[in-house]
Amino acid sequence: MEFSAEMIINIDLNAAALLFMVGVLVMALRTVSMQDMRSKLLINLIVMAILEAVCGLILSLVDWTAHPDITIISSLIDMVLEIALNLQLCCVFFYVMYEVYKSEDYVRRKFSKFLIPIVILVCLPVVNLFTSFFWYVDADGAVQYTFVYLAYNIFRYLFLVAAVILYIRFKSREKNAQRFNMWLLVIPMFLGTLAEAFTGYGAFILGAAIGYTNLYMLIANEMGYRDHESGFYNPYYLSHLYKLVDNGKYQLSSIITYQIAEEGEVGKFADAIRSVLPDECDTIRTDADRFITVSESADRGYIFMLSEDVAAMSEEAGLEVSVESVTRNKKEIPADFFIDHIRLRKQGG
Amino acid sequence: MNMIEITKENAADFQELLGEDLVSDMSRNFFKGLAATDDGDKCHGVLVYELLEVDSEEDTKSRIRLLKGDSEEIKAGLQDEYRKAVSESDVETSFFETSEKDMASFFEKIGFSNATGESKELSITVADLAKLPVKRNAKLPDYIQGLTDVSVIQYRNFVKKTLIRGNKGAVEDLAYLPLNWFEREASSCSISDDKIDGVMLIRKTPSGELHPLLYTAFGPDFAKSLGFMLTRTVNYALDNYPPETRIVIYRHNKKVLELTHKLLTGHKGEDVITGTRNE
Repeated sequence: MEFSAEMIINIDLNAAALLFMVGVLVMALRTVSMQDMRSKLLINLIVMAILEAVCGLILSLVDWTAHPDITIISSLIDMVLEIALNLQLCCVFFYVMYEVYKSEDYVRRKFSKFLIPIVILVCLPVVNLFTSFFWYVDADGAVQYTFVYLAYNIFRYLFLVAAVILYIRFKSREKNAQRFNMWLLVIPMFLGTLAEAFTGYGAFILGAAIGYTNLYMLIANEMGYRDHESGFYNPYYLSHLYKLVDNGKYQLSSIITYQIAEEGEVGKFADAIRSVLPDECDTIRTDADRFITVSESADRGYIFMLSEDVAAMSEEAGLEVSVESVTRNKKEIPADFFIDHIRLRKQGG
Repeated sequence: MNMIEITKENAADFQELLGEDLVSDMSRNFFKGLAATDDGDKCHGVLVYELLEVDSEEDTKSRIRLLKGDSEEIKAGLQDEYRKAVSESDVETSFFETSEKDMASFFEKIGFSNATGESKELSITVADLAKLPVKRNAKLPDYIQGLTDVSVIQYRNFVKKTLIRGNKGAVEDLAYLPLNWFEREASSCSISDDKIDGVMLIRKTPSGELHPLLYTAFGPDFAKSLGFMLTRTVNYALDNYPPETRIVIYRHNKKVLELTHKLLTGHKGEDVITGTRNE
C-alpha cells in the first residue's frame, strides 16, 4: 500500500500524540493520587486523548477508498473519535472549574446543570453516523463538511471558551492565590486547532497531548514540594514561599510551630492534625521532628484555636507535641519576619 | 465606696442592675465589668464594657455597654476605675451610645465628644420577618442545613477560616465561644466538601431575644448560599418563635447597615447620642 504525504503527516501526528499520552498516563498512574477529582479528571482527559489518537491512527493507516464494503467501520471509528474529542472539551471545562474553585461538591452541582449539553455533544456524532448531517466522506475518501458543521464546532468549543472565561474572571478576583496556569493547557490546544483548520491535518490531538502533558508536569512539580511521610510541604517549599514573601505576593503574618517528641511519629502526627488545619494556610515539615503552619493572618483568635486543636488532636493520638506561635509586628517587613523565624530556625535545627 | 471587678463568678450578684443578658455576657472573654459597692456589699452602680479588636492588629477599642449609678459621684468613680482598667488593656478609644440625655451630658463632662444619630442597634420582631423578600416553605438544597448536625471540628474549622479572612461579624470573641452558645436549630450553614463554607449564626439570649451575629459565606456559590441560609433561618423563626419575639441586629459595619436598609426598608434604629474619647 502506498502512503500519501497527507496520510504520513496524519499518522505522524496521531502517533506522536499517542506516545505522549501513553507515557504521561503511565507516569500519572504511578505518581498522582487517584483520590482527588483533579487526578481523576486528568486521567479521563488522557484516556480520551489516547482513544482519539488511536482512532485517528486507524483512520490514517487504512486506505478506506480501497475497501468500500467496510466504510461503515471507518464511519464508526470517526464517530468514536468525535465523541472522544467532545468529551475532552467538556472535561477541560470541569478540570479548570475544579482548579479554580477547589471544590468537588461545586463541580458536581454544576455537572448536573451541564449534563444535557454534554449528552447532546455525545449524541451529535451518533446522529451524524446515520444522517451525515454535519460531515460525510465522499467517494474519493475526502471529508466533506455541511453548512451546519460550523454550528456543531462552535457548540463544542463553547466548553473551552467557558473554561477560559472562568479562569480569567477568577484570576482577576484572586490575583495571587492561584498556582494553576491554564494557558499551559489552552495555548497548545488552540494552536493545534488553528493548525488543523488551516492545513486540514489532524493537529488538534497533538496540541491537546502537549496541553495534558503540561498539566501533568504542573501536578508533578507541585508533588516535588511534598513530604512523602507526612503529606505536608517539605523544606524545598520554603524557598518557593520565601520568593512569594519577598515579592510581596504573600504577606506572611504568623507562624505556628509544632515540635513532636519522637521523630518516628511523623506519620501519626500528620494524620492526627490534618483534619484541623485550615486550607488557607500552608503546613511545612521543616525538620525531622518540626512542622510549621504559616498564614497571612495574625489574628490571635485563629492562632489560639489552631494551637488548641493541634494539641487536642495530638493528645488524642497519644503524641507529645509542643506548640508555639509568633505573629509579625505591623511595622515589620514580611521578608525579615520570615528570615528571623524560619530561615534561622532551619539553619540552627 | 469599693470598686470591684464583675466576673463570671459574681455577675449573678448584680443581676438587678445588669439584667440577665449582660450577666450571661460577663462569662465572655472580652466583656468586663466594674461595680461600686458600699461596705455592706450593696451595689450602687455598675459599668460594663466590651473590648473590641483585641485579637486583631487594629487598635483596641472599648464599647461602654452600661453605666448606672445612684449618683454622679458613683458614676465618676466607676469611670476613673474604668480608665485605669482600659489603659492596662492598651485601649486607644472608648465609645458609647445612649438615648438618655442626662447620661450623654455626663459622658460629655468626662471628656467624650458627643454627636446625635441613628443607633447601630436595629430592633425588629419576628412578625416583621414575614415582610422580607423571602419565600415561605421554599425548597432548599440539601447542603443548606441547621447547625444541629455539624460536628465541633467542622464548626471550629469554619471559625478558623473566617477569622483568617478577618470576618467575625458582631462576635469579637468568636474564637472562644463553643458551638452550643449559638441557637443551633435557628442558625443555618452551607456545607461543601464536608466543610462549612457559610453560616448565619443566631444567638438566643436568656431574656429570649434573637441576635443575628454572623452572616457570611465564601466559595464559588457564596451568593446563593447567603440567600438560601437567610431563607432557612427566616422560615425557621416564623415557624418557631412567637411573633412578638425581639430580634436585635447590631449593625457593626457599613455592609450590615446597607443589608438591613435593603431588606428592612422603613425600619430605623432609635435616635441616640453617641460619644467617643481617646484614652
